Amino acid sequence: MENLERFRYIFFIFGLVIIYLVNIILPYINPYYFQIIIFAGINIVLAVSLNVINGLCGQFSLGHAGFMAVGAYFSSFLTFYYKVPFPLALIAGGVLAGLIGLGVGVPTLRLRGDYLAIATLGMGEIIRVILFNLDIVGGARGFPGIPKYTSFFWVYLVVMFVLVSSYSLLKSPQGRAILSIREDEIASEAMGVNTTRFKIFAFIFGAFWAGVAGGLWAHYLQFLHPSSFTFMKSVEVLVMIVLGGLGSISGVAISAVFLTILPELLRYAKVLFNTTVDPRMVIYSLLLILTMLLRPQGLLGGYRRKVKEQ
Amino acid sequence: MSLLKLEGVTVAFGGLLAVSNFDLTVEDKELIGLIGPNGAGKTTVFNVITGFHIPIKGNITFNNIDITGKSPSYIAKLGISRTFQNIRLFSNLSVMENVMIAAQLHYNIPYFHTFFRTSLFYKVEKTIEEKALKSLELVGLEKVRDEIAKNLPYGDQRKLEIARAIATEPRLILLDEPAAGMNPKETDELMEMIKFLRDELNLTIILIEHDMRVVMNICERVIVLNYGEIIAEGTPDEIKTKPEVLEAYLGSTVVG
Repeated sequence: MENLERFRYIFFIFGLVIIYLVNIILPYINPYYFQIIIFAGINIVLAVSLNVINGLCGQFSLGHAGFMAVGAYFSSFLTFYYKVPFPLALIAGGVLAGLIGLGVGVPTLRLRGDYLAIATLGMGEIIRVILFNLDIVGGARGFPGIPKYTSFFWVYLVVMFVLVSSYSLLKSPQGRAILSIREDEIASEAMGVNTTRFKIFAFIFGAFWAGVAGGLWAHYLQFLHPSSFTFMKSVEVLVMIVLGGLGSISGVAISAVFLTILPELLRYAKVLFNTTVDPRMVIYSLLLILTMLLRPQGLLGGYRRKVKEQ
Repeated sequence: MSLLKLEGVTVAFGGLLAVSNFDLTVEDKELIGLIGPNGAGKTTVFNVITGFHIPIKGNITFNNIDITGKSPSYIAKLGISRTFQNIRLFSNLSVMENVMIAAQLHYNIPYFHTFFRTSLFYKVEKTIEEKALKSLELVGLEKVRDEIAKNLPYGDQRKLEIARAIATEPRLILLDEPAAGMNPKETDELMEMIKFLRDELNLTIILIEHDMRVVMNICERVIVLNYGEIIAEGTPDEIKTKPEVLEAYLGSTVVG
């Protein structure tokens, strides 16, 4: 493991070259496919970052759409009004989302399980309502005219960063501390783990990458509206990580890609069954139910969320 | 100078006094047994020492530092470690990871080194790993280091809890019913191990135990608790004959 890690920079540069080359060729393919590939990448970032909060640290957060919205709006605000370079705007969006994660995390991470889920859900809704009323970013009219900066290169560069950083975190003293909180918070504290600090860190880490993902999303669609960041968006990401296997970084990334492509593939169902009603979402839901019945621990997950007794 | 000192410690759950006016002075390298009927408040004493309960009255000092009402992680850093009555392992993690989480207590590595995998990171990881392995060897679990903790047999899970507690390099270790669920042979091994911890690692040990064989054989001093109060204190031989103790355990004699 360590030997492999020593070559990480070589791998990284190798990956960079590949992304760069694909980036040159890719715009010539069917724009519909291109869009799916972009969304798959953004979903990987969202899912892997939520996995750090929900899967590794075991804190049930439903506020991911909120963090994404903050990153999306703030980075677009910077590029639209101040012509800030795209990478800087992305980072700034992530940092602001992270700061909000800190502000929300400090009071709410005392809560456990369902209570935390409700609190983070409320936070997401508050952010959405604020955006609805912020006139400078369009409010309820939406935010048009965002420059199109997002390319294959930027999306998959961020994907690489989020995967490498989550993996580095997982295999480290801090990562073990975070895992121990998920496994048994009381024992973790008795072993000297400052659980509050690590929970907040996991929260900020997840919020930061969600913010960056939001920035990528905004600069691809070139239009933002608060109604894109409802509670359902958080649930969508949650489904990805549960299906992929809570806690498994590779599983979550694969399921993010799978769940991006699946609804698109199911568009053929209408043709196949020759019906007037679209059976797409019915089949989609059925597939989700079946996977959860057959593999409750997720596609690649070994850890099953246990029902907390407290 | 005494290592741990509890003065007039009182813990209440609502109107119930789980522990009242508890005084205890523990000297360095002592091996103390804490016994008493179910619900006497033994585990509450452990919880209040390790910071999981905050006393409504009284003071706790450890190594001349006031630890009353401090957080469990802070107290663990000062050198008090514990095991739990109902085993609390990190069940989905490997045996090694379980111990490493404890062993990393005194090694803070900044996030920068973690994310950029500097040579310092590998050096610290290695030290943590070596220390964890040493604790595993002490309890004889080094062969199952890659096993998932929840798949271990019950006796080994208890041992793993002890290994994890030792790995934090404590000065005082609190064992909450370490022999529960063990067979006689395992209990013998456990007694050897506890003696070893005290004699070779110079640890101070307080243990709660219902198995009187363990308490009477290895403890130098026994404290008997009932309804949150100390009813007797002394060497194992003294304790055996005290009428208060017999009464608490067996009930009072019927008069007339």
